[in-house]
Amino acid sequence: MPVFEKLSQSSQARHWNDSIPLEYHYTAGVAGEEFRRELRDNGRFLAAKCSKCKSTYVPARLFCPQCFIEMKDMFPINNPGYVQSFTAVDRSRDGSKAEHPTIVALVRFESAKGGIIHRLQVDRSDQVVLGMRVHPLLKDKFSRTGALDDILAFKPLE
Amino acid sequence: MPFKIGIVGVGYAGFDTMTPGLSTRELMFEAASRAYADAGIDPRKDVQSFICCTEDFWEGISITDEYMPDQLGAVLRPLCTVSSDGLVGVATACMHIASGLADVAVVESHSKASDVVNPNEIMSFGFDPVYNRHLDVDPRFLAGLEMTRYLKDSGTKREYCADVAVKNKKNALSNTRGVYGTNLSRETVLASPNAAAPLTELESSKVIDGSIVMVLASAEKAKKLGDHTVWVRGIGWSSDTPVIEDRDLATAAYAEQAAARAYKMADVRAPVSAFDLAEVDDTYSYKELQHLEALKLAAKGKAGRMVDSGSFDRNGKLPVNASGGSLGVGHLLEATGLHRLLEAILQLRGQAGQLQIPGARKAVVQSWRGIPTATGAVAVLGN
Repeated sequence: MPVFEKLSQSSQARHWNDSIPLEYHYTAGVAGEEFRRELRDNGRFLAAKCSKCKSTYVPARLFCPQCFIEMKDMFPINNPGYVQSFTAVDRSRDGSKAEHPTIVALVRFESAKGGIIHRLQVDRSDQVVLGMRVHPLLKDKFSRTGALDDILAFKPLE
Repeated sequence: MPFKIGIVGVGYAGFDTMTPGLSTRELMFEAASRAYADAGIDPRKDVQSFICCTEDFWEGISITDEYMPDQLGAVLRPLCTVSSDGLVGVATACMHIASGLADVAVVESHSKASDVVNPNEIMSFGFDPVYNRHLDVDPRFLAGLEMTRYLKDSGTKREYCADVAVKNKKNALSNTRGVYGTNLSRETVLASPNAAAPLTELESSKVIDGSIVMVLASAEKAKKLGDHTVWVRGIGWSSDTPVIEDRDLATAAYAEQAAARAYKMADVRAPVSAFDLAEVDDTYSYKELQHLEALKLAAKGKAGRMVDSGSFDRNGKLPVNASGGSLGVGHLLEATGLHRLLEAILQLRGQAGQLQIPGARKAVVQSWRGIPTATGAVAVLGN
């Protein structure tokens, strides 16, 4: 064995504790700022359209991932959202068991790429079907900041 | 000229849920010492390039690459860190050798997951800060989203995913490295606690500690080193967009593209009949099925049924994860791709013990970098 003198008692195995308090200010960027403003002020999602491949992306971004060119055409979309995929998770981010399961969905919008990942407001996951129409439940205008948590959840259309 | 780079030495250490008796660096030292003995080289004289595949947050040290030289014999030698899965590090070593920069290159990757107090937080920290961190949920939600879409688009029966866990955990029982080997029924897997529906906890691999070191050499140099050279005949890697919302969640496009490149290099025209075994990423049960289809080892939507019918069993038409994979052996963070490679090399050397597939001569190995990435690599091996 390459290490000749190994620890042989578990009491000999010691460790040190340390942690790093990390904080960042993440720049939303040019397109990100526009997206946030549209969500905050008008409660709508901003999309960007590529002049070359004609794809529309939600959320709006500055460059097309397929064509690698700047996208200047940005506009809010009114297209209905639908559930592209969903799951139910029982644990929180820190691994602890949550009180209630959270139903998480990828919501896409007709004729657009991308989408929004958010919680679905349903009682049980068996009430969800792929492709079902949903709309966002937003905080009231005066408490919105432009962040994704301005959306409380997506809710099935009645 | 056909692509041909030799893997002339392998070494590993750990493979347990925790390794409190050794520090990360000591674990690496053990693995490296074994690999160098296996290859018959002196790292202080014979190696021109050292490559580590580590990630700062898993290490708990920023600039973790700066802490790599000593335990590999790499002080004052060319060393770099590739912040990706170990198989991407192997691709980098191949480039260093193919370009003539090095005759011999060393690749290391490890997991000291037992030192990480809050691994879920690290996984969550990998999500986009502006668009994906607003939910206080288990980061495996992405696996749930992928699995739901995979099952729908491929028409795969949900039970077939459970069969992957049954198969791999059973295989791991015969593997001396297999930490999570066990005999389970499909029903037990399906009834285990929810991870990210429909994914259950028994379909979600658990992290273990370990270090793996590979010694690679040019074809000419390989002839003089070791007695068990396994040849890399093709290698490819690819990353899909980091924007999760843009991805086709049903397929593993990164693996499909990486495989296409590796197959082209190795002149593999009919993957389905080209290999004696495959070691593919099975971090989650459905991932093995997605990856088998991406690698064209199964037709689209047919991988599940093939697992069910035993085609991918150890004595099946094409043994897949005969080692037990990550579900059976344990998940090694960024060293997971090197683990897939290690198991395939031992098979091609005829050193796989109870796991040995008789007459194994050709293998394909595939890695995925885990949540939330869409990065993967594929290597084609021959002995």
